[in-house]
Amino acid sequence: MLHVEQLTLAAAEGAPPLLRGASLTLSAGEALAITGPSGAGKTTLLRAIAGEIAPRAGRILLHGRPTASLVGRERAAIGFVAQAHDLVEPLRTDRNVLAGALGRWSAARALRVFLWPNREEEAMAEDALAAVGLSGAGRRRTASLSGGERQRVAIARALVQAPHLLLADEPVASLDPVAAQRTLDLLTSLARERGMGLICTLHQPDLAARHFDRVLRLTSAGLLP
Amino acid sequence: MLGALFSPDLSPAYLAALAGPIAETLALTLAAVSVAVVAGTLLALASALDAWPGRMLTSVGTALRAVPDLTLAVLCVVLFGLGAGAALVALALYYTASAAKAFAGLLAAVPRAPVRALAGTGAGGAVQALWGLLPLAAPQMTAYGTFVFECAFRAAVVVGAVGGGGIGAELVGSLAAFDLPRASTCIIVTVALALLLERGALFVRMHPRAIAALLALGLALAIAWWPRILPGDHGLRAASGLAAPYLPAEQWRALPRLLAETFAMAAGATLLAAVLALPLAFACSRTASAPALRLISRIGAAVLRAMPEAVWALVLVLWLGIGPAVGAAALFLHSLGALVRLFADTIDAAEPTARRAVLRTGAGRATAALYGALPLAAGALGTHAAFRFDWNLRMATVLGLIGAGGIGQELYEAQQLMHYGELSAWLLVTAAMLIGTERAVAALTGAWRKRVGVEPTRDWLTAPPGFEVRTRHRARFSSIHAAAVPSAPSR
Ligand SMILES: Nc1ncnc2c1ncn2[C@@H]1O[C@H](COP(=O)(O)OP(=O)(O)OP(=O)(O)O)[C@@H](O)[C@H]1O
Ligand SMILES: [Mg+2]
Repeated sequence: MLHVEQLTLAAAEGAPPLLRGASLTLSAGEALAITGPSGAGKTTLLRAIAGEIAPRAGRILLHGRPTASLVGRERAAIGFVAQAHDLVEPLRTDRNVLAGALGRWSAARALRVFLWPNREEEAMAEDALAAVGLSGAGRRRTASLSGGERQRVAIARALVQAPHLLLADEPVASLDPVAAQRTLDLLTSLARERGMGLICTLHQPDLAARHFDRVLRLTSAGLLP
Repeated sequence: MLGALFSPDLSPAYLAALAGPIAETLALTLAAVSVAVVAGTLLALASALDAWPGRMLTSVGTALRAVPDLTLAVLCVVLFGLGAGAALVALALYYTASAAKAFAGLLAAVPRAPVRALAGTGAGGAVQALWGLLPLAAPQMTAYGTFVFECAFRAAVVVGAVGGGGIGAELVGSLAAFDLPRASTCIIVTVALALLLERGALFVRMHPRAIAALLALGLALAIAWWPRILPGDHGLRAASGLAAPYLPAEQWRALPRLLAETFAMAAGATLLAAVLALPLAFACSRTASAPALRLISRIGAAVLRAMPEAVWALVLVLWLGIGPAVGAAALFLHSLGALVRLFADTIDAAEPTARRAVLRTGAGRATAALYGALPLAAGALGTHAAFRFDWNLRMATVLGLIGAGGIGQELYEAQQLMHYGELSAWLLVTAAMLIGTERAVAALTGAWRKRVGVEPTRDWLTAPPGFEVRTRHRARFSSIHAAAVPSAPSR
């Protein structure tokens, strides 16, 4: 479902390219890990796949369409768990989780849920939080959560979004070893059950090898097995 | 005769009679600020989301803000006639323009990544605003909103003096009848209310629900009061007069003197206030002063600044007679109160390590503040004084309305004589002078900040002097984190 062809990428305009001519294919339900040294360009690659950065050369196609051409609601097809979590910290945790569904809701419903979520929506948030081991945290202010808890809230938001392709940038970087194992189990099993494509960047080769179908290394020479 | 000012009429009957005017002024303030906050938020969101009306309306707002709020009130009185309706329109317009500009700045300073993440879930622009932008900017927006309320209250009192009703009308009526005990009661009530509102602002910031209730009440009041009658015959005639600005020859000749008078009023008052505020700020400082001295000087400063400049002017006219001296003295007294508080907060907010180092040498607290904090705060103090000058220049044009000379007095006389061409010419002169000075002060403070290496902290055009430091200062009392606004990230 995802085809990356002959991709050349730079982090910013005028910056030297981080990778040249990289190619990659991902099928539905497949879980791929990308490792590489800090500063190699893992985040930049994920942002390009998400359509946030235009490639210098090459193509990135999801179901045959360039990801950069996905606009508005179509963007819900790609989920992104960012390295910095990117949550709206002043909001309650359950609102941050429910934000994953905004692409499916009308503006009027978004307004209503923001003010008064109903039982069904509260259950949706609670289920997602329970899946990442944060049962009952929905009423807390997001800013009061620890770094690892916030990371899991960001994952819960992606679960609610239920995208075709989930990109997770170091999703276990702020987690203890046990929580890291559990989170990777959750992500990879979701990929298999829902037929969702999954790309995670990771710094731990052992975790990558244990949980993922395939591991690629990002180096200046490109994506290597 | 003046001794009578110190023997206020505190009879229960008069106090009860004041309840109505007080309620009217408070309601007028609430209505105008509610319109300003709601409309300002919508405009700011429109420009943050690049929606079409945003930019156009922002430029209209820039033009509106160039004219002081009370001058705008005079204009609205011309168009809509006397009464609370004209005052409401003037205050709502002016503060909508300020709030829109300030809110747009606050929204632009919000971290972009969380909002981008919402866009990534497929949320549309309005939904991103509701779920991301607004919650992220809410603490600062609330702080600014309560600050606007305090400003608008003072303006509402003074608008009463030019025909808007409420406690201001009562005050002017008593002064005109030389009923000084009653005038003095009105002043005491105004000062007490201003002080209460400063406290009330703290409470409201910690209770978002109270804000929602107040906004709803304010909007209802605004709808009830909004002038329904479109400008009638008189209004149309006035509008056509306004459309053709014109100054007779002798006014042209007087123009340099009037400008210089207005300018000197503001500059003299600011300079003297800044010089005297520095030692007094040490007396008020939490880190430098002794508790008893601090309490006394804080109360003194609070009373000085709780009296709006225009109310000072109304009282001082009795001593000094009509003329620029009244304006200068009124601006000086209010500025002194405001600057003492600002300077003290700035000195207290300076990075404490240097002060601690001086304390470790065995120096006293005042010495430590002088050598350890003042050098660090110097840049900010200079900027505050410059902002205050800009503010005072605005006020100097306004004080002319109550007999303090300068171009404001000419404007008011033109309005009284219904010479609308002249009125509109004076409006243009006011706007040109204020915009020109704003630019010059901005350039100067920019250069000054570069020299002393101070971060720019706020948009001084929209945030009236004191907003930033008060925000930071009050963050300590409230659970809401309202730290300094970082400069907008470039996209
Ligand atoms: N906006 C930007 N402008 C200029 N350079 C950038 C920008 N963003 C990233 N870079 C640079 O591009 C390179 C790759 O950054 P990237 O964030 O993709 O690395 P990474 O592999 O994710 O590293 P880490 O493991 O530390 O997260 C780095 O050298 C970084 O400094
Ligand atoms: Mg990275």
